[in-house]
Amino acid sequence: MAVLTCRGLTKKFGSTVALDGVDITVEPGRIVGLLGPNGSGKTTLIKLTNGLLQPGAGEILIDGKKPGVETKRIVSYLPERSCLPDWMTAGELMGFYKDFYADFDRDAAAGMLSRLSIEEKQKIKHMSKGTREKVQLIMVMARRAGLYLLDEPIGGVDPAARDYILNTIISSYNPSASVIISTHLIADVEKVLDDVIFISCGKIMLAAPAEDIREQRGKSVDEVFREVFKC
Amino acid sequence: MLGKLLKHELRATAHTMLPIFGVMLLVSALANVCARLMNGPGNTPVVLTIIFTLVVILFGVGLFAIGLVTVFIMVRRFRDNLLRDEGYIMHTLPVSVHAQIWSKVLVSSLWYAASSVIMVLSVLLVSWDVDTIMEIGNVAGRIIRAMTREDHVAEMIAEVLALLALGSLVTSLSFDAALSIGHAFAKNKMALSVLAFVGLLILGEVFTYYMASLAGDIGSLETFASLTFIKGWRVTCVAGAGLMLVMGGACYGITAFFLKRKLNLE
Amino acid sequence: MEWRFDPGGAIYAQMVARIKEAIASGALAPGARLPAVRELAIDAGVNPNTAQRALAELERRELARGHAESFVTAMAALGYSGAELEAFLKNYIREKEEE
Repeated sequence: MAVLTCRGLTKKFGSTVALDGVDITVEPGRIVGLLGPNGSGKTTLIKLTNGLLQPGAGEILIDGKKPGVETKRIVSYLPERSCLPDWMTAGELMGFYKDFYADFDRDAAAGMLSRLSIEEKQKIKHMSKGTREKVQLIMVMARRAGLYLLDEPIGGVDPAARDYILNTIISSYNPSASVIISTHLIADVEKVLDDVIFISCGKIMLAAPAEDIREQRGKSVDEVFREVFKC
Repeated sequence: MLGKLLKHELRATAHTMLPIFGVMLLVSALANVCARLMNGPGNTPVVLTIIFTLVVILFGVGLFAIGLVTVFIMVRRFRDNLLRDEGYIMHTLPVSVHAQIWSKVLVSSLWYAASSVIMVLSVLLVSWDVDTIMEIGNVAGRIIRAMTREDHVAEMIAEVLALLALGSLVTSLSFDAALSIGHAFAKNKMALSVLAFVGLLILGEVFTYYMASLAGDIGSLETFASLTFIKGWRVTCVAGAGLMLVMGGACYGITAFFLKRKLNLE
Repeated sequence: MEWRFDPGGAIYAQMVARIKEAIASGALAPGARLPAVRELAIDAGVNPNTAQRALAELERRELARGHAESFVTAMAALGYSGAELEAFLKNYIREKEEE
């Protein structure tokens, strides 16, 4: 059963069409890049998948189910911005995730925190921006979810942090789960991707395995992207 | 899941509310001491008199403000946790929107009740004095004896408390509804929330007026006046509760709709 | 191991080439075990399915020869030199043809 299926998915905000008849299938065990410029509909698609938005027309199914409480159990979402409650400590945050998500692996999270020398009793409000982002990533990746949604995970981070993030994604790989990475920074991320989806103005321009694109066109996905999207 | 939300909500709000309550009680105790020192024997230096007076004034301000401060903190909690950045985490939790609303409403009502208790305790603390406590004890004793002697007094007190509790829930819900409406827009969220709140208040008034005139059509003032006191009281309670349930229900529905379908996190 | 990928061309193919290079230069000893998919993916910073594909390709081409090389190493450990093995095999083939 596909982890994510979209059929004719459409979403409008007033007169603006954010998504226009989108068809997507993501099978388990794939790391997918959702690639497009800002305003292309990436974030709208992600919000429809994690239930922050309701669909307009068309259909979206996660593991065969409509977005709701049941699908939220198996979707692990990393938002673009840091959203952690200030007053909690890292340890309390893990307790929070453990409380609400049965698939949260506290030991794995604790291990990742200690490897980054982040103390469990450190308060989130005393952490630097970079540390907060890493903590948020750790919470998301420490879940044994069916679908991971990462919204611009490497935008605005230093190269070491970027490598840590990509490394974490690779080492958390699980053949029954899928990862969707939404980004406009393709060069850094393309080696990690199985499949790529190019999206522009709410429409899918291209959906293919990354290796096929590189093989058939003799160019990197990044270069192909720049060609497709030059305006 | 509601249980877990409640636990989390209590933890998150307690570490703002408990210090505020603690400070209020402390200031009350200090005000008590200052008042005594000022009325003590001998002349107190001017500087100390000023300080003591300030503390007593602080107590007065605190007592007046503590209810408002609690409301302010609860309203801000709903907004910051569900309508701003934390919303990205809260609304992707595997919990229903109903559980989210109830967790906020129940916990705010709890703190409103708690702040009333703190106000009473503060008054007791500031007037802590053997004579005054004896006097309060006397009055309390008389009230309790009156309750057991007179019919219905205990029931009436219970009914008043129930109405207060219901009122507290409905007030919470009206704030939540207004915030949910205001934050569905892209700009001027808080201004629109205030506007929405005023709108809800007006609608509430209109509704109450309409219901009252309906009641006037059905019965008449004479019929009402002819009821026994307890019957009249009961009718008023039921009417009040009914109105609050309808308005509370409407606010709940509005909040649920806007949080589910019109959520507009940045 | 150092990994640098050219933008065009499949990554798995480039990984196969890089590993062949390493075997040829002696950086990877013949008969040595290749890393598991996960370790290889992390080390190279690539998708695990891509690493898996590279290993499968190597197994298809490379490791078959690798098995023969480890046979040579094993026999050498028992005291037979490469020349002795060659003579033995030539003899064996001649006998088989005479049958």
